[in-house]
Amino acid sequence: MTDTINEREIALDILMEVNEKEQYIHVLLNEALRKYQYLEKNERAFISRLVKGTMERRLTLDYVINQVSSVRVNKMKPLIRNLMRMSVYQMMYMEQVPVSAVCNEAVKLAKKRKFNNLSGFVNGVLRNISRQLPQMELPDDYSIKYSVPQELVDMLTQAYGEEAVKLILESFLKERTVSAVTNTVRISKKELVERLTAQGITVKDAPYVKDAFILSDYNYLDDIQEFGEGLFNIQDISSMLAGVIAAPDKDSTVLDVCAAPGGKSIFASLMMGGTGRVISRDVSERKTEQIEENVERLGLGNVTVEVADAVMHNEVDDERADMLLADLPCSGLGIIGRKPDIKYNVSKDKITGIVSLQRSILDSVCSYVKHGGYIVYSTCTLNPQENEENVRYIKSKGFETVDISESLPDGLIEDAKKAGDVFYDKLVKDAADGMLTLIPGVYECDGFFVAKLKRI
Amino acid sequence: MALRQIRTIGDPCLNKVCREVDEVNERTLTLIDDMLDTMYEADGVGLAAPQVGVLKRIVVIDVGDGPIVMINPEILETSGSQTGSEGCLSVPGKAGNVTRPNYVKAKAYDEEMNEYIIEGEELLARAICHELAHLDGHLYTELVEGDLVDTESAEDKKKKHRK
Repeated sequence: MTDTINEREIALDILMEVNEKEQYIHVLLNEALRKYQYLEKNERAFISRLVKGTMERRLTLDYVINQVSSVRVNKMKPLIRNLMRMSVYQMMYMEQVPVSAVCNEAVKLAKKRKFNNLSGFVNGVLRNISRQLPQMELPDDYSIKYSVPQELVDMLTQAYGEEAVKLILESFLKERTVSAVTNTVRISKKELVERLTAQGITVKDAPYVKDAFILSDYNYLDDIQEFGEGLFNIQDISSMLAGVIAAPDKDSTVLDVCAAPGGKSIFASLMMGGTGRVISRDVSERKTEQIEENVERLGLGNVTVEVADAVMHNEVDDERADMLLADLPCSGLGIIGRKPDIKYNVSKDKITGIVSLQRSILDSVCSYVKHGGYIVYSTCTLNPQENEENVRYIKSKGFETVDISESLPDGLIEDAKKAGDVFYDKLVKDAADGMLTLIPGVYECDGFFVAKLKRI
Repeated sequence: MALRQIRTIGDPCLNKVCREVDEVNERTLTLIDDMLDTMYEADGVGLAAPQVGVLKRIVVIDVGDGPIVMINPEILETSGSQTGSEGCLSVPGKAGNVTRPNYVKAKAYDEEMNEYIIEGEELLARAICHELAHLDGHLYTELVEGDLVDTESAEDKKKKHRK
């Protein structure tokens, strides 16, 4: 007989790859969930929750384990370390799993992976933790409480202030939603929502963007017929807002230089109602294939997909675009809620490297904009070096900021007011200067930055 | 260490009723060693003699607590039930849901032909039932509820192919 498949073991294997070999969590998780497609929906959800949760709370879990264990987490054997984290996560955050099951399963897994001699340690420490947990008080330290490296807490505090940091860190730990935008060229949102609801899929109105909605209670996206037919596209609200701010005029030539997986190109194409032309580029064929797949599925005739490295300047493109979309590679601090591994791998060095890449892309692409045309610069990060300072850099290349106050959705303004004067003032002031920083926790979306500038 | 070839579904050996073992000789001991090696090499948790083409009532099992050798095994008692995914080294790349008793009590002989009683729950109970069925020519595929599913992704298959 072959070994039976155990959800916890699958989760442990993924955590080993992510924590010990610095692989990307979302890639591994998607691969595993595809491979074990035949598992029940709740079993797959368990794996996914356990892996993401354990990553998300890593520093908190390590703190708790270190309070009890004689061997510090960083001195443990890698397999045992990840097994302990995963087990404590179940105790602390998955109330439906009984403590006895957590301990038994952990011991079984330790034995199965030939750590017979450590199974007693695993059992002892876990049982001790379960006894002490109710009395244990976590320190009020943001780093441990929200499981974020101190360096990152400091960076965010310096950039956005104490009040914002708490909201940001809290929102990173919240459940993320899946948002979608209607292919308005082919169907109305109302009709689409009716069709989806009829299949038992839960659809809610999305904040800020009128043609968008939030999807839940479905099994596989690919199994939804309307998705296959291209009647909607998946995109985060924050990234849609970049499209709303961009608002390309009908019949424009829009050039999207770092387009994969194509959300912004598609949004721009839809905003122009199928008129004009969107040239959608990315650096490798693997990336452009994603764009092509989405564009074909949606059946958009006005989008052309090309492979091109944005760093390489191409003279024929000079002054070609009415609007340039530059959604550049970034440190991704805004999407930590989706990809928790990002927060543990941030470093000042890496950020410096990313900023210089962004600058060299800007050096190459800014001249593609017609005089009087626009550049819409965006990132999914929360870091002034990559955001405001790059806007200043673009300005120095003969651009001026455009007042985007009129394009701000009402919901966004209301949420800023609700969160406090600091946030409302920042929103208003930034908008007049062509910029918008989406602070997660203040707004109902990922962290994001977008700026609109006009070439003089 | 000697590995033996694992027979796969379709091989007539897998559908035959095996003979009782009368005495344990050198050849039997070699067979048992080889079966354990073969099982570990294939990452299995159990293997029956017919799966390596020998029609004798011998199975080996290791669910993580060390090797168990069962000669002329018989199930004495079962209780409870468990439903879960099961696979077989003779049906590579597949798995299916099978309901088995959650507790099994069996008797068997060890390599020195001493009779012993073994009790098992969960995975061990499942493995005992699965392996003993092999000795009477039955595969778990006869018991699968719902569909037999692929456990290998397309990429795994490609990798294996390259090897």
